Amino acid sequence: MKVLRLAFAFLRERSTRTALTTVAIAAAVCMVIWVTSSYEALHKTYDEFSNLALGRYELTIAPISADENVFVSADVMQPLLDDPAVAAVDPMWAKRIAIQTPNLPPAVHAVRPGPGDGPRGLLPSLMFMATDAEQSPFDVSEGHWLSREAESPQAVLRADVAKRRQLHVGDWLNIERPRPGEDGQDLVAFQIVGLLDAPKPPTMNAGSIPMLTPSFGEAFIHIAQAEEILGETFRISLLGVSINKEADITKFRFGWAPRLNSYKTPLQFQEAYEIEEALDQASEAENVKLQSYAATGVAMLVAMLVTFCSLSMGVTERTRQYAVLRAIAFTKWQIVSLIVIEGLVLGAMGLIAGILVGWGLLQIVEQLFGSLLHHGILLGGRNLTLAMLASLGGAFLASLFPAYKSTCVKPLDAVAPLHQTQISRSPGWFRLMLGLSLIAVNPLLTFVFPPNENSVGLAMAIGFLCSSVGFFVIAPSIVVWVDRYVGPTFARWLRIDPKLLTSQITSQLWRTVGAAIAMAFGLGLFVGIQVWGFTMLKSFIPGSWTPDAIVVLRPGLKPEDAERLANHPDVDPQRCLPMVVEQPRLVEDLTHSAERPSIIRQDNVVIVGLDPARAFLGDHPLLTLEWVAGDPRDAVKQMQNGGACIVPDHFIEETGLKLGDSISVSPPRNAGNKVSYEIAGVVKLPGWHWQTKLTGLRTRTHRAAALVLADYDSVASDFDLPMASHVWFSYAKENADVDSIQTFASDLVLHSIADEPLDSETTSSESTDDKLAKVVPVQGIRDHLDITARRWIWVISYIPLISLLIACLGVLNVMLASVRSRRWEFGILRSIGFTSSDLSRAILVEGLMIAFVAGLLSLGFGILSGWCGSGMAQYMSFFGGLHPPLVIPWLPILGGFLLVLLLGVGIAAWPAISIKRSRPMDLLQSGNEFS
Amino acid sequence: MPSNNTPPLQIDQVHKTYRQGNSSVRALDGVDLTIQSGELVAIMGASGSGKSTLLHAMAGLIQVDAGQVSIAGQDLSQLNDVTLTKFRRKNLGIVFQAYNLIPALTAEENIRLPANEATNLDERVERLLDRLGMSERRSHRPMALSGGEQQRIAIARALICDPAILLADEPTGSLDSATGTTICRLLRSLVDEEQRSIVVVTHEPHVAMWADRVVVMKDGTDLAEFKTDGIRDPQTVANRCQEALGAEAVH
Repeated sequence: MKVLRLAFAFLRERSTRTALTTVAIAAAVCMVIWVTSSYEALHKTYDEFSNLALGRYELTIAPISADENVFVSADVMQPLLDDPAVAAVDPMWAKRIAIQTPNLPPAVHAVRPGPGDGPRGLLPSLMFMATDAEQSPFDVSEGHWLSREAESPQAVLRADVAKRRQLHVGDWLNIERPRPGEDGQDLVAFQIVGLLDAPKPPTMNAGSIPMLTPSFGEAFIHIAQAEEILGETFRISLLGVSINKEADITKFRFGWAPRLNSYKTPLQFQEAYEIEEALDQASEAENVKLQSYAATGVAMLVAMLVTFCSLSMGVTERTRQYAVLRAIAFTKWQIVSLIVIEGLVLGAMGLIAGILVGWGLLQIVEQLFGSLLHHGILLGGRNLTLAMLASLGGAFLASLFPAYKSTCVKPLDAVAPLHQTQISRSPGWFRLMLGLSLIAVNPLLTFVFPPNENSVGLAMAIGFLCSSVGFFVIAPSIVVWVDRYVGPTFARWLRIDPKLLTSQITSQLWRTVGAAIAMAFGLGLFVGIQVWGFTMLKSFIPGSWTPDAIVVLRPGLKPEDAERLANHPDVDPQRCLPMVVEQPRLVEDLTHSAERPSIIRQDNVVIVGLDPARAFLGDHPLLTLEWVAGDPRDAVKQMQNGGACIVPDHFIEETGLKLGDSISVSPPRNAGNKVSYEIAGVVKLPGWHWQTKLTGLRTRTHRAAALVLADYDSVASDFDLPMASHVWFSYAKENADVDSIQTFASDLVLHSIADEPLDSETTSSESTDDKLAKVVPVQGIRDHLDITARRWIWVISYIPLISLLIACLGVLNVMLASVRSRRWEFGILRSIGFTSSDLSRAILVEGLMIAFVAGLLSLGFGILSGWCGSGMAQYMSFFGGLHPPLVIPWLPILGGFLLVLLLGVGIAAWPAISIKRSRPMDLLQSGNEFS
Repeated sequence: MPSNNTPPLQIDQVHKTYRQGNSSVRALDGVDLTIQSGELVAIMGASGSGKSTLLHAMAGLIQVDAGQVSIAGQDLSQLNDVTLTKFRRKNLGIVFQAYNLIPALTAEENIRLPANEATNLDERVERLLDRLGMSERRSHRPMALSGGEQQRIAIARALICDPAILLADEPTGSLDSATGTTICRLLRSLVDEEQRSIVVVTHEPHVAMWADRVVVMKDGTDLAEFKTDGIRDPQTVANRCQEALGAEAVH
């Protein structure tokens, strides 16, 4: 009790410091509340979805494995139906099937579609749920459920899917048949007969959720029709189970659980709470969770640094008081608990204030700009726990070192002389060498002793921990260096007597270090994010190897018609090639995608067929590639002979394949077969990822392991692609008229559909419908990517910048304490002739010097972390094999550095003005204060 | 257990050497001293004579290299940090030259600081405030008190646990002579009226004259001691000290 009372007395004694520290912690808590409220809201969404996801079924039965090729044994059906507790069992078969792009002109439907839906379109496929259930799994909001007696194929769509794709009851849905029918027909038209009021899965990418429920079905069709389209026998992806009302579901589960496990393919029950758990493990939830934890971590560190500054100053100032307390009453542990309690009280005050203000602000923002809060807001147990962790956890951690320092205070210090000042002018060579050695660990682990994919997390943790500790260890040396060499320069600039700056920031070395690190933390993270972001961006921006544009043709053109695009005056006729594109699955799991999180399904490649001689050889090749392995001429010859390809270098690194090895893929339009391509060359293709994404080259799924280039005829034949779906070309001149080229290409398609010869007089503007042809300039992709990436980088930079502003409150505390402890000294200086302006300018320079130290630490830490972070990325599956060159975006970094310097000066303004206004006598009288 | 005849404070052959690099300073060199109950002893000597080190040894603030410091029969070297702190709180009161009050606490809170919550604590606080004439100033913080007032509060704080021994390190060193005399009278009255044992370290004869016995130190040894016999004359004390130092010089 006595300790608690004394802790409160100490906090009251330095009320300004207490207030500033509380505000800083409160701001950190606000940040946590802000970020984590969306996580809380997302959870509520999951809760709501989970309760509706099963529809009219009490539970579902599905394989434990989330692999879509693992099915429920049919043997389980009859025993289930025999169970008196079971009212109904409905087997369902989940399969993603390609659909015809809707809303095309009627004539277009008559011909085979080219793959893809153009730039940034919806995937040209739906998740189909084949079932013969007599009753609809969900309420029918419009139309009716599938009828057994229907003469023509029927489909029922989830209402939200129909709305997104602008489909209505009565419309037709054309489904691609991977294996053409006996009559050669490759499309089946399904009439939409009903819409279901089923819950929309919280994430768009159902594949990222390791669980299947009826609500993941976007379209429902009869089993027989699914079998007919796919040419496969019906298999059970999941069973919807209805339980009799009088049956006990818990007993039913208890009795059946061991039986389900005993099947060759182990099965599991799925109820609402299990779905919620699975959703929580899904990628989107993981991202939001990660953001929440990141914000909490940053807030905790900021709260810790600010509280550390405050407590550390308290310990330094009260050394004598602690000694007295030790001499007359207190044990070491009571002194320790005094400091810890002081920290926790600061944390608790910041927590309460932060929750109130944070929640209030969120409410206001929700009222005014509700659309900004993508997942909504909610205050609940999770974000309150994280806020507590940030504030109280940070405060507790911050109190440990000052508490330890206080244990070094001896009772004898109570009789030590007053006004002892520690001045450190030595750079501390041992400390410097130790710090530099620790800093070196991260680059060594990244580039010299690279980790494998399993140990990359551990290597990153060790590397970044070592570099953080390393920069902390060298911080005092940097303070001494800045004091010795930079201080005099600042003094000259500001026309201050250099004597005033002597030992200005080294007199309380660790206090300065704490303040500088508090500022450096935010800026360091900011610099790190900028360097990492822009370095990684470099790998994804299409390089100079690629021609100027790709035109997407729907449904496509015969290759000889596509070649006619070269007739347009703005198209370089020597660099214009038609292409066929497919996205087949790799037969072997070369990229180990099965072992990775479900979001990274890089189990396929994008294969592009084009004329290899014109693409890679001659004076004006279409693609100006840098060859890593193989000879262009030999490779072209091999490709022309068929069954050969060239691949990007990162794919080779990721898979361990080499020149001469083969990759086997499964053609989607000819399921069950496989085709192989020998690797005839390895090239650098920086930025192919986004180029394929934004030009519709990825036709089947959102992710691909590589862009593979092969001979046109081979690809067209192997993948059953008789029409060119794209043309890759360069402009004939700088200011090419893209609209005109697009119109020209559209006319080519239109005339091809109508089977009319192209008349030059009709090509002007007869059709400008960009649904038939769409030109996607590469520069547009670069610009789009650059803008998107910059926006993304800045979005994730806001937390460090906020933490920098919060940390400034801690630094202000340090400055105030520093100046307060030297008031008597300032009084002496005033009395011997220095003006109040001299002193206030000296204080401003002190703030500038602390900020300068912070800036140097940030630059070092940020650039190193960004460099090593991008280096480590090459060992992760997501960025597999990419070697981005280091990019340092100097403009934002120098902007951040300048911001820190300005903040340093701004922070020093308050104490500087305070000293300027104080009379010499007041300053001299401060010397009597007991400290 | 100490017997009834055990002196409140006994020092036997205490040695203490401070080392700095290769050089060492012998601060205490075989000091013997016994303080009886109800005795006020002044320890005098020039700067560096070892008088403050001796006081710190008595308070258990430093560990001696050899010899024994016993308070109420308890050898301080046998106590660990926690038990020593508790022992000191119960048996010793310390008064510092710089008062060393906690600025964040009021005068009364400072007095209460060493005491455990006890049924008669309020009564004891009242009595001490009355006795020291500080009742009206109880809610003031140290910064609002004069030097003499601060020292009186410091003495009250030292007495709150009712210790048998009071150790005062230059208690008037920061005060004017009139206030210093008031403090000395207060210490004297604590001995005369409450039979406490007080050790005062000072270099001022007008403080030492209030003692029953004066111990003169030089170079870490207790050079001589003499009784004041109730003569409150600083000049006499100064002369006796000088004699002791002079005799040493002759030897």
